[in-house]
Amino acid sequence: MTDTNATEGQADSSAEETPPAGNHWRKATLIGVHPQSWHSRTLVLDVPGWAGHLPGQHVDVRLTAADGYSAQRSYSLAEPATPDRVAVTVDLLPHGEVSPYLVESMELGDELDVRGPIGGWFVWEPGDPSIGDGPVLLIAGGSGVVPLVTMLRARKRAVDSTPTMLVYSLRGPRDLMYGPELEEMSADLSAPGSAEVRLVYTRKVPGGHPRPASHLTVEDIKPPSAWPEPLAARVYVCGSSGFVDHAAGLLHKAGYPDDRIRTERFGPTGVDR
Amino acid sequence: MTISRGFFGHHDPRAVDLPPGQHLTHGFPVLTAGPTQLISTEVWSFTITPESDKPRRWSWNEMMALPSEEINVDIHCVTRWTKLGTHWRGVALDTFFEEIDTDNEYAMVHSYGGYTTNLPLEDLVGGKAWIVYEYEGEPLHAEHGGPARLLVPHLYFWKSAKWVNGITMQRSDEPGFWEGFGYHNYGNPWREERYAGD
Repeated sequence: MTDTNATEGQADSSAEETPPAGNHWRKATLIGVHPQSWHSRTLVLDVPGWAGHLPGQHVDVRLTAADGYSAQRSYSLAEPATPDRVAVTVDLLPHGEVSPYLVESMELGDELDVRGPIGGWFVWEPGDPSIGDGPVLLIAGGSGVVPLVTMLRARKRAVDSTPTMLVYSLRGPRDLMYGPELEEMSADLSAPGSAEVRLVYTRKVPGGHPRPASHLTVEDIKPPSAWPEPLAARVYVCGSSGFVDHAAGLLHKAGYPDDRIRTERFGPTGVDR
Repeated sequence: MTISRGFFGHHDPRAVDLPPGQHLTHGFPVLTAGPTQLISTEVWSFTITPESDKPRRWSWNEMMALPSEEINVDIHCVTRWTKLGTHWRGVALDTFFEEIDTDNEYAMVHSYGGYTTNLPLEDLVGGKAWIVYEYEGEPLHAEHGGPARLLVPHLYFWKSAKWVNGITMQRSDEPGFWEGFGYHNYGNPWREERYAGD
């Protein structure tokens, strides 16, 4: 199959072209699974012809039952680009239609269709001139951490030294995704590709964690003192709509202008009752 | 179509006549590129700028003095959710355009916060689009675009700009915000025009 990025009738508008969304479905085969929290897992798919994507973009997933019934959802890409490979981290929605299959039923060798990459706004890649060389503040609520970790992975892969911090709000220890990886990434802040990581537990705190349980506060998003111009940071916020609005309120309070803040809102959309 | 072994789906009996690739939601999910805009009705205004460059501006109170309609429609978001039977109240774009003299066929919709989206004028008039300020009998919440948003239910919902504050008439079509990021220029859900090239 050849790649058909149809851009018929579209004039080249600027030097900063966003790659057009992939326009056809490709067969994907499950080749790896990695459990994350108690209700989520990462699926690694072999997708011949997948040309790559930017950290923060999504992929459309289509499941088809034997009787022809199909369902589609969008998921954030969970890894920086690798040819022929797509990874997503899926959080289980208990009464959902698609996530129970992806988190609990799908086995190695099973297949589905993917299409993409989609989106060009909520993206960060190392060395992107449109972002400048200011620091990057990543704020995640729950499974909203997925695209932000993809950005951190891309940064690490590129050995990029942009000052970067992840503030990750989650309910309790068993909801933690990417725990070992985030610990390793933040263990030695002088190591290349490292980033400061702050875990904000909102309900249940693991033993020895210095911060008591509470919702995200303005103190939690305070940048490290080493950041030269904190308000010049580009801020990415991803989580439920309520979380994003709460975080945006704190950012406003801290003095960040709207045009520095990019948001992505996650949420269950299926029939769930 | 690739069959996913072990997937059966829910076959929701209420999901009749949905556009292709959509499923039902009972919530009202939000898709916004930036923070929610908090605009008071005291400062809110809506301006149509035709090519004559004589803009016509309506304040909140002037809009509220215009004849309003109840609108009962299904809405379809490009992120695949469809919500059936939503109720809105607002003013038809036809009412605003009665006062506008334009020969241009394309419109660029502008919002507080800088969002834009493009539509042909013919999709805004003829009883197809409204400026709405009530949802399910309540003032429209900021999260969903209040105090007032555009409602163009026959296209994907990103065309129904939240926090709308103006329309500029244009001689030629240009992409708005999402249209510049690989989304379809027109966005008809029934033809599944999600992304550029669909």
